[in-house]
Amino acid sequence: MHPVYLDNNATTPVDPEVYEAMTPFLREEYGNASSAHERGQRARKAVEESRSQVAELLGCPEREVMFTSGGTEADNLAVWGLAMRYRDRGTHIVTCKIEHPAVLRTCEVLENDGFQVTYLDAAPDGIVSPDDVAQATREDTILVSVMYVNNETGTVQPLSEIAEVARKKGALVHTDAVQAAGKIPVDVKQLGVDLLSISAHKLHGPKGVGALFVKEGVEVVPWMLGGSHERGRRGGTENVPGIVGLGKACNVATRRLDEFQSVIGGLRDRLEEGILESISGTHVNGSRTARAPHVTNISFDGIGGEALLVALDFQGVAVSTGAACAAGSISLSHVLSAMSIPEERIKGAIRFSLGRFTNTEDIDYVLRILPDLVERAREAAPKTTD
Amino acid sequence: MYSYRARRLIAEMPNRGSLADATHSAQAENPVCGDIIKLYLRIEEDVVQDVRFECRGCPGAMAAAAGITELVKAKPAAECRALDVEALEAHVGQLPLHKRHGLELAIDALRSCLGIGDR
Repeated sequence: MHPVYLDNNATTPVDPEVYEAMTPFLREEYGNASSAHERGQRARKAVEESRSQVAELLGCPEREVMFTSGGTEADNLAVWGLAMRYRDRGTHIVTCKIEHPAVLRTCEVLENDGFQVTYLDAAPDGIVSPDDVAQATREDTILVSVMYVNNETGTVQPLSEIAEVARKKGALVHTDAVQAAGKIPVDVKQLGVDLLSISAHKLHGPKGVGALFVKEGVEVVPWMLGGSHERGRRGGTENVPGIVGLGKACNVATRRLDEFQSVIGGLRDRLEEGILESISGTHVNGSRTARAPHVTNISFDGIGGEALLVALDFQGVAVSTGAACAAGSISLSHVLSAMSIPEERIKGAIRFSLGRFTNTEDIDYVLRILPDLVERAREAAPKTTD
Repeated sequence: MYSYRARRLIAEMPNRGSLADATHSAQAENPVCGDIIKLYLRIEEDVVQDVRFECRGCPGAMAAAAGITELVKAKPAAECRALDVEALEAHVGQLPLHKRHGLELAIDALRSCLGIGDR
């Protein structure tokens, strides 16, 4: 058996360079970055160097980067914190149905607090139309939040166009770029966004740390209350080892971005084309042009993706699926549902997500074992039912 | 967590497909999630000589359907009638709690096949 990890959109293995950078801050360099003594100041220096590395990846000044506990907190803070700060200007938010729950659940909380939220559909190729954003954005819209790269399909949204139409109507723009950072260029100025969320563990950094880009002049009400850390926007002692890990992960990602796009994009294409050629009744979900290089989401006709996931796991291959059955009821992917993909295709959907350490042998192993697993599952499917 | 045996059953799916010369067949369906298990038995001289399953559903149902075919094969029909969820679970091994309904579905299909009532 050849262990193959193709669930990098769930989480990625920590890069050895990142691990090396973090280690001293889990051992001898244990200072609190807010302490005035030398040990504390060394921790502060490390935090600020990391801020600089994140800023370099995002194309912004260091002061526009604040650290969080991950992508979810960054999304929560962006949407809720901005809504609280600007509710006197308006109480309408525009987002889309394919967002991560970190955005969707926050919007639901705001709806219970008097806000109105418009949830836009995506087209069958997973793209949110800038025209739809323009139509939905009103005078009282304070925020448009649309993710950059979708976590299930890898679809890249026309974010700069969306941001442009939103700005014209006076709304601020947030994007969840958790699956974009380190995978495709992310330049906050070119994108024209006001807030942008990233997470370390999606780009070969540690879990439990992320960052939120907040454009100079934009304010958010703190989600976590405490000390005046992060320029008063987030209370709590900085997670120095995690922040150092995030910084190093961004640094490595910046250096290797071109290589990631060409090499990993090539491997993704090899996998996708191999599956489409060798297995009939297979369909790629989402755009095959406007997408990040590391993901393909494929539906297999006539079988359940969840069972195929377990069968692949038995053969050493880790993937994820678009539907899950729990205690007799089916939960379908809200992303694929919002793209109007038929239920049977959603049930048969598998997400393959590659990472920096995926190699040709991994892909060829999957292509070798997958056809038999699919054929067995199809042979087991009822031909007729009573 | 799925046991090793459950994962093997899902990956290898022994005794899958239909049985042209089945003497008994029946299906059970979960009306909520739509999982279906269909069993085909060839019983001669009161012994299950051959068995096949078809299944559309979650991994728990797949493991249970394949597992029950292993359990009943070459067994006297009387022994098969006595099989219950616990016996099937002992053969399949651990399934995640929220997948255990597949075991019940497989037993329902077997009981229906053998012409006996509900669990």
